Amino acid sequence: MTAIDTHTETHVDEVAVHAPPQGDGLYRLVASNDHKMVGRLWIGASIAFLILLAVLGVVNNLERADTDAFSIFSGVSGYFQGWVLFRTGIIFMVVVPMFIGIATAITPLQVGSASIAFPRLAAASFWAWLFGSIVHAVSFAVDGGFGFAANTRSDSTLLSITSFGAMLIALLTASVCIATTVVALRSTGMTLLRVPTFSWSMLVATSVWLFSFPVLLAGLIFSYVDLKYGEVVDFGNADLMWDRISWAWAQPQIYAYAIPVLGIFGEIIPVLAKQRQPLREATLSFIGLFGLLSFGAWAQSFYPTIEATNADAGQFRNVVIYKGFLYGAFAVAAVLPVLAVFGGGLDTIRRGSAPKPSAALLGAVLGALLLLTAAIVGFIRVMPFADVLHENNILLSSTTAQMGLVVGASLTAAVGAISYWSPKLFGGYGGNGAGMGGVMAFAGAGAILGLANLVAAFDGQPDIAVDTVGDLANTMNMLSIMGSAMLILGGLSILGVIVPAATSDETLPDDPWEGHTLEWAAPSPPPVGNFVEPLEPVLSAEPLLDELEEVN
Amino acid sequence: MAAATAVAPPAAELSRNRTLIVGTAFAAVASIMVFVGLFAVYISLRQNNEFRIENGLDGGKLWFPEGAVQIAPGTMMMFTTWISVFTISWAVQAIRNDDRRNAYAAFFVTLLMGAAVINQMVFGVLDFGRAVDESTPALLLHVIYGSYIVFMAIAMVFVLLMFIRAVAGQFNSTNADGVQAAAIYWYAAVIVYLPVWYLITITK
Repeated sequence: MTAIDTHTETHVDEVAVHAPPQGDGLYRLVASNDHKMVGRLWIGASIAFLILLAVLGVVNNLERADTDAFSIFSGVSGYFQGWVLFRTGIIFMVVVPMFIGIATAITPLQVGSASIAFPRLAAASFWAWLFGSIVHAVSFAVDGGFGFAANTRSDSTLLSITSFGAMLIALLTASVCIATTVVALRSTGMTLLRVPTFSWSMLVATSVWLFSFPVLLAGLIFSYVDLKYGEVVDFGNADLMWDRISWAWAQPQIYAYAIPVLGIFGEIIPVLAKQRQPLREATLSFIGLFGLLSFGAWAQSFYPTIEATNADAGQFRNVVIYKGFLYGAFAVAAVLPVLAVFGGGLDTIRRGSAPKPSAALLGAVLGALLLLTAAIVGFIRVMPFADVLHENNILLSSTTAQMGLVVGASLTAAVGAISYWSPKLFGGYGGNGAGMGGVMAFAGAGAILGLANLVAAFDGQPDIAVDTVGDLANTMNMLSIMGSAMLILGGLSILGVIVPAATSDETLPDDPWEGHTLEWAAPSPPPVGNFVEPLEPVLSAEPLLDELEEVN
Repeated sequence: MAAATAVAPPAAELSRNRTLIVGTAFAAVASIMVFVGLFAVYISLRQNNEFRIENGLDGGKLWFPEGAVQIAPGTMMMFTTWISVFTISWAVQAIRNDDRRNAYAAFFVTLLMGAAVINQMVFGVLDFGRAVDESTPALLLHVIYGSYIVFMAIAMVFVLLMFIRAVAGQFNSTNADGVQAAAIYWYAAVIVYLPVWYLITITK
């Protein structure tokens, strides 16, 4: 028996499942290691950070629209600090934790497990990440962050590095819990190819994170030691610190954070179209391929190759990687799997019955569409004509555009997922109107931030815009303010989905959507241990649909 | 979904929960990737330095001073780690055979090997004798050796916990998952030392 073989029984009696801790509400919140509660905590905290960071995004874009005055921040250094905090925050305090939260709550249900793997570690991961995130944000407020050396305090910068490292380690341990759940806690008969699409996408995503986040951590270790002990190799030089880690916000790594978008799309569409997903294995393969193409730790611009080294001592930026065949091939190839999954979803809708408009449907479709747009922008970035169109290097000046699209895609799909799984997450139906509003707000934000920044990049505006730019770029910057404001609206709208679901007294059926996968065999909301009775052996990827078809 | 009315009883050897083994494998991969990141920086900067020396550019100088990194301690560490592969495997096999006396001895020797590696690594750093901020290679050596000490210490704690649990009677021939998981993490620590040895001790 290999480590990934399926088990011959469910693990109700094998997994460490604990009754909810006794005591008052706060104690139960802190002490709980029930995966649904931990998932809710991840989601709630990432929404809170989202709203705060979206406000920062508006402020950043207001400042960028008038860099002559620097009327909000104290100067270019303060502006840059806000710019960096938005980036570290929106990915590692919002997007990744949001997906981890949804997966922590839903993945064990989908694979038919009584609990997540290592439930105490899953809970500890959340609290460590929350603490690290708060300290990280505070460190920027006390002149830390990855900014200009002349304007930062080294002890505060050390705090920024340490807290960012703590966040990464917490996200890694949470990823281990999710990946292990999918691999080792599957129900009887559920082979890897029968794993629900969302859980599969989380296995792919967490695997890519487990391979790439440690590389980012290694860079932080060098920066910490160098800054603390003498700054001999520029790792600790705050002027260059952001350059060193910026690959994590650039193509192809930026795609890694949005892998679950494809899983959410592949999960929701067949259920709402009431149609068995055709070519399901192909969909899983394309999600895996997208994961492979999103591994970006190799594409670091900071470390020079021999070819990139020139007589200009101290010139570290390695454009060779960005101009290389492999980088271009990754960017071009990344379009294919997203297009294939998206096309497969549309084909599923065509074959099935027309789904009713809902937040879940809109979130899934628009999220995938935005991700496809991000991949196409990545394609455009590496095309020869991109550099011909403007005098600067488009590769180095349009990462903001791609990040906007990926963040928009992720949050749009996350609203769809929260709305879809609200009976399991919160025990009630999510507010559909608020959900649709949230989807539209996030999709609009992603589209505006992505496309406006792409146009601005073609107009010659670098990612870190500290100088006066052209009229077109200025117009785009004004649009970006609106895009960031829509992130705030989206964040508030998610609350409109969650609050009605969490406060509902309505008794829900186990399977309000006529779902295909095992989470819908659990009560809504699922009790501790998830399933009231042992599950039958799984014989296909859609066991509940099989049962429904048998009945009909 | 209807509850099962008749679920076939599982075969005994298939009912084991391999969660810890799978989780440890994921954690070991993540730990190895930290070192992949460290090695990539080391190789990149050393290549850059060599290029500068060959082309007479500013900033290129001898990577490690003559005699700064001795071959003997690093190679001894390599042998020590590889011996520990056999001792941790010995522990796994002993537990699988319900041979507790051999298992305890194997755990003890493995932990001893781990302590010896850390001791030799600290000696290597002290013998190197250069401060962290003296040069680029000095910083890289301190970071890589320091990170490896942390990695080995985590592996030792893992093995120690499984040792204690074994003493408490938690593992036997039908359930050796904890010991196997500790062994997987230990193997990862041993594998990581190979490039450390090659990059720093041999090719410097």
